Amino acid sequence: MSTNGWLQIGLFFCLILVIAKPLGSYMTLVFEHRKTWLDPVLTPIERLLYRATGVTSEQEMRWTEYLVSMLMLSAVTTVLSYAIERLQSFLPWNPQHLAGVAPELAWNTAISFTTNTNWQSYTPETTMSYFTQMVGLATHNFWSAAVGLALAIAFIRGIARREMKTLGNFWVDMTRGILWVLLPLSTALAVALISQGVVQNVRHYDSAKLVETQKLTPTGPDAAAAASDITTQTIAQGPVASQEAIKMLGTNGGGFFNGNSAHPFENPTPLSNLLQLLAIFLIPAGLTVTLGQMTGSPRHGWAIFSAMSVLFLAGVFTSYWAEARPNPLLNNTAQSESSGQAGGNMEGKEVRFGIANSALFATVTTDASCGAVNAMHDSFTPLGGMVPLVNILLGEIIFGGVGAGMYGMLIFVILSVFIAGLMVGRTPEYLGKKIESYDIQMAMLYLLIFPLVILGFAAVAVLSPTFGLSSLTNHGPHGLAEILYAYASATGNNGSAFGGLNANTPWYNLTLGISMFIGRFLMLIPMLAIAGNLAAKKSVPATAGTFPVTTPLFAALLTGVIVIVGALTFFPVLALGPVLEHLLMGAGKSF
Amino acid sequence: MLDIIFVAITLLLFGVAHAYVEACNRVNVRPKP
Repeated sequence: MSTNGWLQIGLFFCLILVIAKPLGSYMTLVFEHRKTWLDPVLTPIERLLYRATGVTSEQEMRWTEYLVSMLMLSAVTTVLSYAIERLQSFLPWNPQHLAGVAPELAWNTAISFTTNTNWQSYTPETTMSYFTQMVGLATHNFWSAAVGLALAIAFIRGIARREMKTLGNFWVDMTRGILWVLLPLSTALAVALISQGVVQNVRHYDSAKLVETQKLTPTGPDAAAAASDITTQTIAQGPVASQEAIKMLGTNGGGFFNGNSAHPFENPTPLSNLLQLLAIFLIPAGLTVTLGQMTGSPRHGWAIFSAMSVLFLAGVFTSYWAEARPNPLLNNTAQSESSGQAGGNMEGKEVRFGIANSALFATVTTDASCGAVNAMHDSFTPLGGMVPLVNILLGEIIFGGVGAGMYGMLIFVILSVFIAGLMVGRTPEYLGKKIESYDIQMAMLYLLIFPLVILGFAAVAVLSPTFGLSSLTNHGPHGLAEILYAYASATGNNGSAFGGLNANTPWYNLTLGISMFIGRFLMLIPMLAIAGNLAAKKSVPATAGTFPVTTPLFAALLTGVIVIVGALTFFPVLALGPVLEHLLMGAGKSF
Repeated sequence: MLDIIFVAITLLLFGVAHAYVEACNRVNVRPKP
């Protein structure tokens, strides 16, 4: 670990701290329909959209209507993306003449982008046309992020409102989220990324002549026939910057290229790397301020920000510490840090980012449900790789995905308040609302679906040599970690992967698709049920027995509840995976 | 054929989600005293 590395991590966190309040305040204005400086431009567009689509913007929705609207939008756009992928060979902007995507892969990808996961069981530059990337996939980056944002705002309204049956209008919240928040931010970020060298075109791929001919010498029965000399390299192009911006801001994470943010056309410089890191945390951090302002308790928003910050800093410290240490299996190799040597574990990392920025990126992308990567998580040390895995398994509530992190965190807030109430023997209250049995039932549904899907599918996969283990590259505890990571990433709607598992098989395409669906839709339904129930409740005045949710004690309790719930649920499987792998690495074994 | 199956799976999953919304709503209806 170096001072330079810590300064860069410190700079990143300070920038998030500075930006959170103005952005959060702006989002409060947007979603409370108050005046903003973009109104003169955007209000006419908003009205035109409502008129064209027949949306009655004044009509408020109950939580069930809100969810059904969201499900209808998601169902239609999933089928649309599937159709575009299948028919891309007949559609424009396909200069490489790529064939239609195979059915199970097209379905997995359509579900993946609809659910904000952006899990990619394919190599984008050799599978998806420009049209598919822009119309079939990048649009989902906006829609899925706006859905998350709308649902978080609906939840916050549920907490803030008194004796009301409605939570707002889904179509209005979606439209305002896209027009006022996502589009302006992503336009500005795309321009900034282009300035750093991120490409933006719809040209045919370039072809470069290699300085030195490469000999391809395959093995196997047809080796002699397949042997050839390679003299040219294809350099993929595309409308990357426009997709890259919303990929990070919307915490989507799906790369335009297979290398994702490690590819020099997606993330060329340390500055573009910092901008991408900031873009991931920007909206989730701002939402803590929005929560405080919309519920009339700004200090509550900052208490949640504090709890998130503690967990974030713990993760980044562990990851940086684990990756900066020398690998004990490389005994007689100089691994100490010097002016010409980064030290530590550089396998799978980009030299231009180094260990600090790779550890930071891995932590940020899994704290949020982003899933973009600038280093290969599978090449991290066992403990370094366990950090992103644990971040996902905790529910991605450390700032979290756009909207999804906030409503996930609010479930833990309700649970914390409930536990505090049990400890003192009083009915738990949260910002003037009594937390009752229905709220806790729904919170439990939310919390239990997640491990059930991850551990259930992972268990079936590890017991199945024919379809579960056959596409696994590594064995032993690392192989278990790869399968666990895949289902955690899918169910948590993250999208990053331990690349040693080839998931482009019928079994993984289908089960990971189902995991993504359940992890998104079947978790947010009980969440919004709580919001609807809270909105209908009367407000009770705070008394001496009310547990305050604005204090450091509350932030500490919240942090403790998150860690304990996560540890109780997933510690056994982590012990059999990365923890065992770490201990065996110390004994000289690798997998 | 596979296209029809995958579209059907999609619609089935969203149908299940819709039924789940209704189920969560129904649980909250309290019996009259």
